[in-house]
Amino acid sequence: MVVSHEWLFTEPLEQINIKRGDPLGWGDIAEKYSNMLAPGLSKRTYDARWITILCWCIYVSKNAPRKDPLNTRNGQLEQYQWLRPLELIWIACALSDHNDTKGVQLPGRRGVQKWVNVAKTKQANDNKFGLSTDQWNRYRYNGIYGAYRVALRKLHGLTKNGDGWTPDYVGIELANWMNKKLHEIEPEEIEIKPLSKPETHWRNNIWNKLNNKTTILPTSSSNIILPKKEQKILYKALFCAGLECERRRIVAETIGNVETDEYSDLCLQIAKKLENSDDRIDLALLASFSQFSDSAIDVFREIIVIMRGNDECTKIAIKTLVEDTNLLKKICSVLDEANEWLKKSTEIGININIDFDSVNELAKLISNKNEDDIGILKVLINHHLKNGGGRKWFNLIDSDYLEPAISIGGLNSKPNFYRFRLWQLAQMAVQCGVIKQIEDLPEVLREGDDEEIPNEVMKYEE
Amino acid sequence: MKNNPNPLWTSLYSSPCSRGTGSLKAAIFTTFEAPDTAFLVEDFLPEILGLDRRLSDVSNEYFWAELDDKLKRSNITIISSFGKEISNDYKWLWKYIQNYSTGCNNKAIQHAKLWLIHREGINNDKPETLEIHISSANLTKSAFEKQIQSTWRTVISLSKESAESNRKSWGVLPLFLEELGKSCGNCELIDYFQDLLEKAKAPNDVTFLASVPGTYNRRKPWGSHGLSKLKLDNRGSTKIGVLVPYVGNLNQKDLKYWTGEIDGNLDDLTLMWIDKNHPWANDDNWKMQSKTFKNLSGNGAKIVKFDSIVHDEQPEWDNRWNHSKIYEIQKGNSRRIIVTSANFSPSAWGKRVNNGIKINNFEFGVVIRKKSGWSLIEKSELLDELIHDDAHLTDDIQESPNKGLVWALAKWDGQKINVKARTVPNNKHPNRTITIFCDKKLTKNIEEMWQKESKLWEWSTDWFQNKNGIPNSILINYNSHITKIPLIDSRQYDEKELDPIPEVDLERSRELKYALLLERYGGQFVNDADETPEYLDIEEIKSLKNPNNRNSNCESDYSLSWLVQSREWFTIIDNWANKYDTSLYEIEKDGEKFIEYFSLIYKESFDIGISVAAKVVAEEFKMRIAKGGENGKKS
Repeated sequence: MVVSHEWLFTEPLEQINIKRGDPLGWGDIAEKYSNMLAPGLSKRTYDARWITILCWCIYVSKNAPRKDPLNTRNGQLEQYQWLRPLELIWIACALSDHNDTKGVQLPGRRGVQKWVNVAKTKQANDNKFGLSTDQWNRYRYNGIYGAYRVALRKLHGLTKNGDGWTPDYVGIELANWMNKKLHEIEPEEIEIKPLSKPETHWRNNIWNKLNNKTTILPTSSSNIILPKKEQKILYKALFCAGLECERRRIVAETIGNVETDEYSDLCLQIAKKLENSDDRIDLALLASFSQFSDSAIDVFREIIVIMRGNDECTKIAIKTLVEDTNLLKKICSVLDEANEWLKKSTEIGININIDFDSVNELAKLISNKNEDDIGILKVLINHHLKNGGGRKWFNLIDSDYLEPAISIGGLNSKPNFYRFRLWQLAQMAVQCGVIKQIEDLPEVLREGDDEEIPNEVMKYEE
Repeated sequence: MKNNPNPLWTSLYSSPCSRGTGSLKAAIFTTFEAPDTAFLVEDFLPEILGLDRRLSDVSNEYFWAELDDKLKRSNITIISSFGKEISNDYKWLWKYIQNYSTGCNNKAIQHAKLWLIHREGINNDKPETLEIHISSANLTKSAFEKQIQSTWRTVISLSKESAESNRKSWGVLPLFLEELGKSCGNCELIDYFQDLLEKAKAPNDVTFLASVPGTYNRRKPWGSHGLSKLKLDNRGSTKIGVLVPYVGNLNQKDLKYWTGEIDGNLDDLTLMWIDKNHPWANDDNWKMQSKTFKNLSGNGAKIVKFDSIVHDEQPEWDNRWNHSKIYEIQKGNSRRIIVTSANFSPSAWGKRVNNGIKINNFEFGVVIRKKSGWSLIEKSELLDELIHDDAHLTDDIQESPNKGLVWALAKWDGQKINVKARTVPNNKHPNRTITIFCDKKLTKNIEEMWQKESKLWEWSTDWFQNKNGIPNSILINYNSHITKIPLIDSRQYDEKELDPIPEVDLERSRELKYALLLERYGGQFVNDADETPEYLDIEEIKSLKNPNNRNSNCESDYSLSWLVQSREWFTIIDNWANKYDTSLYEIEKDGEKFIEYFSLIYKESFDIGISVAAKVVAEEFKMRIAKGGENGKKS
């Protein structure tokens, strides 16, 4: 029996995120440090307003009809069917009402913008809010709930037993605050009828209520300040009670007080502040790790600059590469940092919890090459090719030539540095009043993080 | 489902077609390029296998565990052209997926984009299904993201009984698969799917077209010969529309022969092509030589200026280039749309030679019978004619020189690595030393003698996992040219099951496997970045050995906790038993893993309630497995 058959042209797919910015293969180490410095957050958690909005979303959808309990896969899938349209309605409102959406965290904005344009003039029929089928299905991972799920689970008092779905007391406070703003009177329950369809239900009950509520939308980079009351509740979740809150607060306060142009210096100051913590031994190597990894990635970035200047973008002899003065400086610097790392890690001794074997191995190989620039470069490239957990930027040809492993367009981007969620934490610390103003944040916080890599162009076929 | 006269505008991954079907059991995907492993791991496989998790910027342990679990439970083969460079990312993928290349006997380019996906039924309510995709999409990121593709797909319910008449209904498909298997050096490769084709009839309003490399007379249905079997209306005039991104070096004889197969002439043919200023001209993604343009236009074919639009819903900002290959034929009252992998080239459709045609490529397409709706021919009538001087044309296309090693296959069965290779023109053997890559990020050079077996060279060496690790690919050196070949891991499920999960700390592997096992049978759902669910952290259970940590439950608490816990675990037993059938080896293995897991909890946990509950549950699993199959279910 034929169930069905169909013929199609492929609609545009949301650009698949490059998830592989790990040029030295030390992503695990960076993740461990991130968990020490900014626990309970993720790279995509940086606007505390979204925490408020999501608490409200899980609050109003808590009574949505479900067949299975929330601790099962099916139960969570069913519950998410109710959350997704809510997330997207908020995105749509932000796109509709914000004058400037630059810097506003709005995943799927291009598709939703189309929906908003239609919805402004007439009833939009599209139940996927302008998203393609793929975007709609992937929104569970790429959307706002996906970005803040860790926070909903881990931050203090947001969800019961950290299940990520059932609002706990701080979550309820945030939801009530939002409810008041929405109804401008006492909060009211939104009743969900048993046979309602999630998309239709929320569009009928929420979409109009959100119109012109610019003060409660996700914040933009030009204005991230939150009302005092909301700030106070969010402070409870992020910076008030418990060890993790305390850790976030200490780190955030340090960021707010440091004046530096160097990321590693910032790391050093933070490690000093935490010298009485359980993680002190690992943290004692944080600045050296940051400095060593940055210096190695700097070499890759410089090679990309040279390759970009090479019109034909074909292979370059390593011998020719090291004639470049800027690159030579970077190679000298990586040698210094490798030696510094070896010295520091020997000083700290063996009581380290993080597995630094790969870092030690690279540092030793570089150190052994002493002032052999070509040797150091080859060691670095080989390490990248062998251990890099991400996109490979170069290929080593016949061990003496380097060619770009990505398209010419791809060379417009650069490999990311290892960062430890400090920018994300700092931004929310400003929103919660731990750091006075965004201008207090060191410029270096965001540098070299989150760069997009364009896709390769396919080779031709007959 | 009603047959829509217009094509849909949707995704290759998700459609009403594949909703509500069960887990993937086996699949064959054919592609031109060597598959892009990063794309497969990060994007394609999570969609096709229906994973509940995706790679994210937080902990991905459960993603890797789920991917490992689903891949181990499925049998996936990818067939591509030989000699395409394989990616360095996620080399461990070859442990799960068999990557074959064509060209074992003769030169053969694999250009078809055919997917066959066999999925389980669901709880006896829904039968097993076979999903078939015929498209223009290779297994690369750019194919999915940067190109517009066209696909025909179907989902067929499989009956339990086989019938030869079912097989016949599939036209050239079974024979095509047979030829593909031969060209990969493994005739049994496609037997599994040949059997499935006997369990269902093909949709009755389509016909399949295929090309197989070789030289053929009219008795063989390959290439343009397939067009003559389309049963078109033999009265009335002929119109042919062609939309392809590549037009090969077709001479007058080839063109005449091709159009002749549908009783048409060259002046019945309209080709859609782009002009020099078209955005797609910049990247040289569309190719046609000047002389071919002249052969076409000089012999009556019409060439019109294509505007990039293939579908009404296509947005203005869509800057992807068209990679779909569509042909439309109108003859009298009959209309056909061909959705295929075949470009308009002699390599794909056949070059005219004495008594027939010579084909270079494997291609596969489907002919859809249509009465109304989307029409390439109608569209072409609205477009302006394109003259030679305005057209985007390319210089002569040089074939890359043959590097000598034209085909190879490497397999590891847990004890030996066997390599087969074919070389031209002198048929010398490759270098005796082969480099072997394995999961420990190590490489090893091994020297062995090559033996000649018929047309092929064979090389083998002992390779044991406990000594050397799990091999994933090899390098063969021939004439100073090095070719990397993914290794096919032909070990049994039992052996593979013991392998650690890739990208995850070895110590965590076991716990993650237990977590997934429990979840599979109705236990707590564990998400990426979630903490380890209760009772899974083996180290934590062991740490409870300290009597001071022992749960100080009084007797009544103990009886309550064991009752609550065993009730929860018995739901898992029930879910497992519902799937249990002695013929399903993997399910029985799951039962054995449950025994191992619950026995461990019984031994290690100092919470008496939990410990007793675990013992009871382990005993229950033992008893049900001992009874086996139906008895196990009814217990």
